[in-house]
Amino acid sequence: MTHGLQAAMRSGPDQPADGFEFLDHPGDLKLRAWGRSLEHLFANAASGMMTFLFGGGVDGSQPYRTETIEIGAGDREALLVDWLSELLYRATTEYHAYMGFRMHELTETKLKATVAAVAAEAVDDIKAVTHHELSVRECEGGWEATIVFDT
Amino acid sequence: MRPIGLADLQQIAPCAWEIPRSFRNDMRVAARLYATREMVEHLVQERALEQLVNTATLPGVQEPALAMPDIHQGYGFPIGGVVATRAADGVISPGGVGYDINCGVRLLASGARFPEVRDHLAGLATQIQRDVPTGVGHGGRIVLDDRAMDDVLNTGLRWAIGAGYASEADSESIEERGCFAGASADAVPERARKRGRDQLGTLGSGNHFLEVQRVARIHDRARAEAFGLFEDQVTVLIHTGSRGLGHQTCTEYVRLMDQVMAQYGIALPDRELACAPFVSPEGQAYFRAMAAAANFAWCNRQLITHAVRGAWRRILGRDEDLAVVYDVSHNIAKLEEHGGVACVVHRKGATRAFGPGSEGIPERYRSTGQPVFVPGSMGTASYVLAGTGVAMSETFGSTCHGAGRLMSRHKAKQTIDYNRLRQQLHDMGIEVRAASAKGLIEEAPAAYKDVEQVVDVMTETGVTVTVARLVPIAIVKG
Repeated sequence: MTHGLQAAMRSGPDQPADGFEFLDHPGDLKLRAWGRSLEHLFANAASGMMTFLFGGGVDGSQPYRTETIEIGAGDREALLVDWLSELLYRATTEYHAYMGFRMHELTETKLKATVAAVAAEAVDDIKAVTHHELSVRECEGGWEATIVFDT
Repeated sequence: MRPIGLADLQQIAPCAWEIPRSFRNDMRVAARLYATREMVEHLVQERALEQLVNTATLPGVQEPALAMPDIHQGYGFPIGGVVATRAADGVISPGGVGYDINCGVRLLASGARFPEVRDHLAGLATQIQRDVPTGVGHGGRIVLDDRAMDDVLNTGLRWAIGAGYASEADSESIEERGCFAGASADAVPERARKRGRDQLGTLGSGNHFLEVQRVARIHDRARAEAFGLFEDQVTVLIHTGSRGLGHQTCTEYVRLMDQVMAQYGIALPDRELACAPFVSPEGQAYFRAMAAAANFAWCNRQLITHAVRGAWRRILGRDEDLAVVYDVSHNIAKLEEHGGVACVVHRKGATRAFGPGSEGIPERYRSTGQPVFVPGSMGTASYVLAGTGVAMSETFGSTCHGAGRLMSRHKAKQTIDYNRLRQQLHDMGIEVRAASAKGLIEEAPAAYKDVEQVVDVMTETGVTVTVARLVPIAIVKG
């Protein structure tokens, strides 16, 4: 599956099967993401983070490079943090955004994905992805997660 | 976990409250909060106090786990927390320091009074903005090669002196002389080095800022004189940290601690408190890496100091080097002795406030106690305080660090009008140079607690003495 930055940003009974929203958190940034599958959830969380970092500036951009990401972690929650941390590290050191999150393998402890790099100017900064109040859970119609970022 | 109510806090002094160890089974020590009743009434509505109680569960934690009046909800540890753990058998936690390792504040003092600077203020603000890279997504003017990066990480200010950015006198006026004992570049993850290689001398974004100020009031004449401060003097305050290098160092060590914690039999109420015994290989590696990242942060504030000195000379035509009054860290873990016990003192959004006679503070401040700088929110006053003997006996030599956030960045963006805010700052006679409207709105004064109330609590408890009040005349931020 692929996913860009156009994920819906609303919740409620009429919420689409995939999306993300920013929740109120004093001081830091809290993101809720959801998806019809775990793969969609991971992609949507990544889209949410990229939207915060780069605003809407990525929509319609042409990817200039595809990168492969392979990571392992102790459990599903740590895997989500490591996935987002990996993207954050690459985006902040290379000064570009990512979209087109394509999951090739995703288990509780292992992830293999390809992502597309696009030129973009950051509009905000994230210091790190934290483990605080972290949860990845199955819900009606799929999966959802909340992640707190230090901004 | 049951929520904390007002009835769970015992008032032990006019501005001191304790949550006893009996509140929760997993607490190893009591938790203490310095605050007014009004602050406590607000705090029980959010999760910061639960986070404070969580820190009282850490192995080896010393009585009590502390929170300063600027406490607010963080991730894992609360912001405004001080947790001392026994070095011999306690833990060290990267989350207890935070992602911005050695984020801190440096105060520079000029020899000029405000009337001498007034007409040059706009030019000075513009020149500083030109010379100090600010905002997101931009590297600085220096890209460190591997060897220079090793030197910065291992030796901190010694590197800056060798490279011509600092003097011996600057080094004397920085915690640890800007060169943390035990720092090791080898312990800093490769990715952290890469993330920080072009960020030395950059301010960054978020709540980081640079302010030109005027000394509006001297509260304690003797100490102000010792700190080199006088009424109507122009000063410069620099607030930034270790940038991406520190963020990545913390990220990688939180991950490591999360993986090894169970091997040491440690179970915690929040994963972000991840820790390892201080004496363990992981604990020692983190401490060495954190110390190296702290050196990077001191060099960062030094390079900004160097740029500000250049701007000052160029615009004001004055042949003087702005003097470093002191440089304090508010996100750090230090090895200190308290009550005869060697402790790892985690200060996360808290400042060291060593009292008179303490080792580890510059000779010239031995009789006054060390200077502490408490920046207010943008556009409001900042304070210079001094540490006391009470701090040494009651707070592991620590005090508050700032105003403390009241409103989320998200809410600030929704409720604060950019043009009105800019006008307000203009009406107050403040020159503003901001890289983005968003950066300005998120740091609006309405988003923060009143810094004066925070400082008053620490004065009331005797932990710090108020020395001077500084008001902004120019703000440069990301």
